[in-house]
Amino acid sequence: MATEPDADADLMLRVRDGDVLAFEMLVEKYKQPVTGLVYRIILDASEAEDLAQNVFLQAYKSAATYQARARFSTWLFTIARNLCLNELRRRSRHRTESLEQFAPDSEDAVERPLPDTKTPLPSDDALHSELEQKIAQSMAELPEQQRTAILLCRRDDLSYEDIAKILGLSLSATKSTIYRGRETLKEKLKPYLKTGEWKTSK
Amino acid sequence: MNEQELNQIREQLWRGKPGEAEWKRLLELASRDESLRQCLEEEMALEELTSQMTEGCKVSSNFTAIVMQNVRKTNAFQKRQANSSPFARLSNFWNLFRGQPLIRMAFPLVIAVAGFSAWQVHEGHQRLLMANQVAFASEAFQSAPQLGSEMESVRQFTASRDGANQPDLELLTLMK
Repeated sequence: MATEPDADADLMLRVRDGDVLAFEMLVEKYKQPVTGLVYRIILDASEAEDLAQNVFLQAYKSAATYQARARFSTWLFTIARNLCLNELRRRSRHRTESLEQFAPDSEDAVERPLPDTKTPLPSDDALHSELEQKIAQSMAELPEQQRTAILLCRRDDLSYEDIAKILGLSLSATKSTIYRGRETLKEKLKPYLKTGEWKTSK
Repeated sequence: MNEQELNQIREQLWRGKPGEAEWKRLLELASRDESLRQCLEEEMALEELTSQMTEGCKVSSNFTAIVMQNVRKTNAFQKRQANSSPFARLSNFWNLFRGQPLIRMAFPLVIAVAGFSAWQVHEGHQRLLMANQVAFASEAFQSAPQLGSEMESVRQFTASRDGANQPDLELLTLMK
């Protein structure tokens, strides 16, 4: 998982030496994962992109002090999470609640075409979208730490040790956080879990 | 199966679908223990569900361009700031010779030589000034010999009064 040499860390070392093009390559590679993580943490689509851009800017400003002691992605996601936590703290101070907070895909929902009444059954897409919304909502209801841990756990390039570093927890506490988050998700998504198939098919 | 082994399997499942061999082993374990089967099946089902979750927020096409524009602004700002203070300018100049210790060592030597030369010139100038003053005084004494005795009177009078720095009528009269 984290055994191969980290090419991104090499790129970041080039950035430290003043290579702006190397930084552009890193932005291109990580823009979607970082924006996705930021969005899942702050649960605000309108702010997610701005904050993700700030993450990269912060990373660039910190380039002078960058040392390739950890994987580049671990370092970048740590910056992303810290900025997100600052933003959440700022919001809790100002009490500016977003309307989208508990409806993460509301923008998509507005843009979704109205259901075709001529078709007798809802399409697979609609079902999929509904399921996706349900999963996103269940995730959004988890505490921030559990939500972030589960999201990071889904990334192949991050080991449990890396996730622990990003969250600032011990390895065992990280695993326990993931476990608790997944248990809560199982409860919330119980009707959607396809169980009972192992007896027959596998 | 002990708790530790179960946790290991569970942690593997959290990271995605198991490989062929692992899958066979899981099925074998599950066939022996009903509660384990249920637990593993739930983990797999949840993994399958969460894998359907998208990134949630698509980035705009000009994302990289905006970031790079901000990076260039930051660079320009840092450059301006670096050039604004004299210390920073000196530091920049010093950094030009990074990795050239001989040149760096030469700088203090040049400064020391320049300082010594300046001091020598200053001393020479002072000596010349003093010589001019002595020549002027000796010329004055030669042309007017009574000036010597008057000067001596002034010196003695001044010495007899402690701290007599103020202009004095008596002294002025004597000088006249």
